[in-house]
Amino acid sequence: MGRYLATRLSHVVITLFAMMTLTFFLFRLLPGDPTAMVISPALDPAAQEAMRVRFGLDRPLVEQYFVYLANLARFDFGYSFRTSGPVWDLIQGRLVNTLLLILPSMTAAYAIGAFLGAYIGWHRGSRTEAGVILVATILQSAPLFWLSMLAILFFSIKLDLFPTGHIVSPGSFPEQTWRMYLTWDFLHHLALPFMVNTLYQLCFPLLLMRSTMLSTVGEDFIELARMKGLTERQVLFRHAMPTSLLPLATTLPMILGWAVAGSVVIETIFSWPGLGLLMVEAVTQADYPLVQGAFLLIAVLTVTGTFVADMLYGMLDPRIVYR
Amino acid sequence: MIRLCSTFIKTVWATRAGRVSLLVVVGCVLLAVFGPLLAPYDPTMRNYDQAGKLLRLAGPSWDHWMGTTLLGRDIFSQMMWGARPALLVGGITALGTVVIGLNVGLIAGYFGGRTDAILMRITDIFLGLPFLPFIIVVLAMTGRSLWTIIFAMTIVMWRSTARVIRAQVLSLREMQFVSAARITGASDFAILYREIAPNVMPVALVSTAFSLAWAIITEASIGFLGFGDPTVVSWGSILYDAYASQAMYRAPWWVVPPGIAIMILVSAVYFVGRAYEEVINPRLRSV
Amino acid sequence: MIEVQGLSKEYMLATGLRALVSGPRHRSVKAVDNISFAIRAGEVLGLVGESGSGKSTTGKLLVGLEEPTSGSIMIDGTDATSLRKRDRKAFHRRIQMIFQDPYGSLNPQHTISEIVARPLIYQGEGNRAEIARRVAAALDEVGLPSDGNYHDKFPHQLSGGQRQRVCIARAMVLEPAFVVADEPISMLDVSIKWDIIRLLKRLVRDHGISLLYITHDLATVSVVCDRIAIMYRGTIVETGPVKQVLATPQHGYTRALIASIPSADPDHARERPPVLSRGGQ
Ligand SMILES: Nc1ncnc2c1ncn2[C@@H]1O[C@H](COP(=O)(O)OP(=O)(O)OP(=O)(O)O)[C@@H](O)[C@H]1O
Ligand SMILES: [Mg+2]
Repeated sequence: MGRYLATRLSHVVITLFAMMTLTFFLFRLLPGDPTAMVISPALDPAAQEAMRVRFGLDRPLVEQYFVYLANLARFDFGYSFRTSGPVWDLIQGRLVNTLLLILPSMTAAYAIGAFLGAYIGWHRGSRTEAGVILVATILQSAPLFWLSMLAILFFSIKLDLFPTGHIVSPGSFPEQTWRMYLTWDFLHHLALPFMVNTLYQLCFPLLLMRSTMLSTVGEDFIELARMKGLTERQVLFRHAMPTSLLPLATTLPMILGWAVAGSVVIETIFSWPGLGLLMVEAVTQADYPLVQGAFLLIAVLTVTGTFVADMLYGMLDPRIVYR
Repeated sequence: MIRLCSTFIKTVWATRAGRVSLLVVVGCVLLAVFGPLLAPYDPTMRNYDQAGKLLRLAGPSWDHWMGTTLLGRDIFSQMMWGARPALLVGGITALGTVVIGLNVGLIAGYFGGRTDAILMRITDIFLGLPFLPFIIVVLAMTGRSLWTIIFAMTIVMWRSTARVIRAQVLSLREMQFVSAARITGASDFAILYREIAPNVMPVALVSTAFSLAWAIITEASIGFLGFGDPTVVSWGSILYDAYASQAMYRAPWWVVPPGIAIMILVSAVYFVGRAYEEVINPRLRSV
Repeated sequence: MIEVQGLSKEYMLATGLRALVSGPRHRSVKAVDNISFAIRAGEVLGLVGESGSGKSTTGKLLVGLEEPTSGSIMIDGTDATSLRKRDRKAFHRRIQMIFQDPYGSLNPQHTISEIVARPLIYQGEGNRAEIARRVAAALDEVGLPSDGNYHDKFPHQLSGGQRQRVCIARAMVLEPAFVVADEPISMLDVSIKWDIIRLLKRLVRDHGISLLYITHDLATVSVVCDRIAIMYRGTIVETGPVKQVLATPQHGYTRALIASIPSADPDHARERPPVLSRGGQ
């Protein structure tokens, strides 16, 4: 077990390292001057020169690469072209906003998806099953941004129930502070993106839970539970569902990581100031240090999610031997 | 290959959902091929009414079945054009995905040991790449064309196919027909591509269908985020125009059709994939 | 003529750190331990022993599916191990195997005629027409004639006995000099068993091949084999003409083996179904 963990952990380190290396070279593929990546063309020549020395851009690419790694180790992601502030300070707060949207909606999606999936898996072959699968598939096939547009069109414009975007009413909090998360205004803004995201992310756990249930239903211990005189409902919720939850639970961390990466879309449409929106804005404004920082952070989260998922899968599934 | 395709079509055709979905997909392919020829207007042309006034955000009418955009462009014609990039980008990406994923999975699973370890580490790295952010960065760095989109998507999509195929190969290579081939003098290459590969093709086909569905949605999302090929009218770019013009909430006829088109095409692809999957994977078959 | 000298196969169970920790006793298993025997052309040698005694491993060593730890296999005077290295294809043309499991040993995605054609294709032999002719002939010989509509079917559309016939045709299509049959009938219905046995006997007679017949089943041994070798825990404990070994077993293990299967007694063997007396027809 300890060895298994150590092996997996070493893989994560390799993956993260590869990711940082890939990012370094990806961002320096930029046609033309490779220094354009780190130094804002808007600065005056003297300041540009100072930056060049600070980042070692006068030195060979390989050396720059090590400077880059050393900086990353100190959470030094460079400086934004637009604000000139440290990238790390900018992305920190955005990460919080992203997590405040993604975590609750993914939790809700998994909870609802698991129950609904278990239910229709239990009643296989029924009309309800066919109906739910049809709706879930169609929902999954619609682009998330389009569903969001429809939701805004209906709930915000037509019914005027929710704001069309942003995290709080514009102007109410000029700076991002933790106090703004404690307002009704925040929850009011959260509600619509939360619901749309939940609805959309629900499809995957739902379909997975159903197909796991299909194989659980045929197992001996289910028959045994029935013979002990438990009601169908008890068999479903106490025996069949907990067993089937296992494969589903192991996917959660990975899907969470992917959801953070996928937040680009929902944050853009709802103007939600998270990491994803930040990335899109930064790309449009050619603020490369900021793009790189946001990209790296999202990548680290995705890698971590995949790793935790693999670990959980290895630990919880008795069929896997630790090697 | 021909045998695989014919059993695929036969299998899918056997269920009602499969039949309908297959027809929808074929319809979309026809639309992608002939749509631009049938479109009543040039999708980028500004339309004017009799008085010579630009038709801004005109609702559906006899002349413009789906209304017009803020710039007076005919939405129905744009829809007819939009099928082509969706299927082109989706199709080539799915193909590239399956070619890379299949080969990586086959080689890793069959040779095992160090080869497997290295290939799986590489797969892990790609598995860690955040999907949309990576594509956006690549597009920002190398320019926005359909080919860059295809390239970027393929790079992040082959990983899942590779994993699925590898798992299959791990059990297939222990089967006795592999030993049987080996003692008749088959090379590793022959065993891999002539004995094992035919057995993973059904799974590869399912995974191609899911890749196709996913690629179509992603292509639209990229278009919507404004990173699509600026010279191409796609369903995603129509929605981007609607969103960017800030007029979309006044013009539902602009927003609804592209989304519905994507939804119908993608769910048809999903259903085709699943109809086939249920047959090759009896565990999923419902009674 | 096949001569096996001091053949051994040791499987490593754990490698690396694990092996150091678990001690020498658990590090490896000697599946085959220093065995020697010979099979003349046209002769059938039965290899009998309990489960796990190393019979399949011996078969795999002979056909080259496993590399021996030590010992030599001489085929008509040349060393098989070196021959295999030099010319793998030529080696495999001379020595073939029939597997125990007629389900797992046929590629489910290939038709019957494709399966039988593959050895010829892998050997790079003949053109299309020539291959088709030889495939038809091989299938015909095992009792699956082309007018029986079998050739374009897939393995799952055939019965167990028919599949085993396909396996035999695949082995025979290369016209080998030597064939290993690893429990070819153990997964078949009793009713078809004897058909397959008769088929094997006929092939041995008609083609003059040497056959290593691996089995648990002493009842079939007396019918099929000329000589018999008894295997026990990786070693051959007794060998000799079938009748003699079964009638006057020397080794205690052989005696126990025979005692456990009453019908293995050659006197009882005559009471087998009448088809048997026609032997190799
Ligand atoms: N690939 C392998 N790795 C490790 N041990 C093996 C391997 N193959 C066989 N063995 C071991 O070698 C021994 C002999 O196995 P073998 O398959 O030759 O027996 P067998 O006589 O054919 O048995 P059966 O009658 O059940 O087929 C057994 O103890 C088995 O566990
Ligand atoms: Mg055996």
